[in-house]
Amino acid sequence: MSYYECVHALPEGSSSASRMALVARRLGYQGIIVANCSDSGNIFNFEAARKVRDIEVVRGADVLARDRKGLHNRVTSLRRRVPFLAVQGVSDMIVRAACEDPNVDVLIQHPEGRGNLGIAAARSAKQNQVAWGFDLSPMIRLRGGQRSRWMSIFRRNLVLARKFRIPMMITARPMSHLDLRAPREMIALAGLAGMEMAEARAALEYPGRLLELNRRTWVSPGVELI
Amino acid sequence: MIERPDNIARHELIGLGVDVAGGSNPCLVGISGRVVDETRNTILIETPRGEKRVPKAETSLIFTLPSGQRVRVAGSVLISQPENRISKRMQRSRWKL
Repeated sequence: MSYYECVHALPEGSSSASRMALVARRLGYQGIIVANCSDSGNIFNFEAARKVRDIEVVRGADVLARDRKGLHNRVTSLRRRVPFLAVQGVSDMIVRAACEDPNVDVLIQHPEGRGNLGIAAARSAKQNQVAWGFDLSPMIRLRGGQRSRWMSIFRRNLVLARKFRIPMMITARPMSHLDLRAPREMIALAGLAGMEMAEARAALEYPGRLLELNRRTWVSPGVELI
Repeated sequence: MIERPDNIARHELIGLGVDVAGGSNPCLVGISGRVVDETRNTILIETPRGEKRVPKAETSLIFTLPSGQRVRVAGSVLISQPENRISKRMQRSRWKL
């Protein structure tokens, strides 16, 4: 079991990558992916975080795009530089475009539920092996009707992800080390939202598997140099 | 067409050295030899202990190209009749397992 969490570190978050790594190690994670939305080179003191022992700290990227062309340009430029590429599903159009792009690793559900997974997008995601990332931070932050609405969107997306067998990932998208949740807490939160325990475990392990696949040398689909 | 790692999924496999590196059937893992025949869903491998038929689906194969280069191929990308595989459109995904 190797659990990974996708975090936002300084300057975007409020904790440094090293602090995140230390806390994540204590909580039981095997690695963290520092995926800031801004340019991926702009992470405060990233090299220091990589020196933290017993935890893997990986540089990733979180793409926030407004239109299809912007998304494509950003994904193409970042793909070769980072082993983990997530896209924020800020609108239905971005969700559809990201699902159709095989260079995207994970498409993260927008916390306000703006971009939703449709049937056509789900089919493309399956074909292009784009995973659906469930952001559990609204479950912690929101209350009352807003949380109820978010949970209904979560369940609808979960039904589609199950139907089309799209790989799933869960994250709390921590902006500080205080936002980090232990793996068993994440599994419990996902269980409350409607995921099964085995699904939640697989979703927490998915980033590690993805990193392992992306580090290999693929010359064409399914063909790998040894 | 020269056999290269990037076009192996659309190339003739007969004559290539192959090792079965993984698969859903553990009895097949470790078979090593030379490809002597191929159908849509299986390949026939000549080994020192006779010919073994290995399904392509759910199997990971390591081919040795004439140049000596070794490539690992997910068997699922080879599923096609050999005469049709040359014109088969490849999926756009980066990896497929």
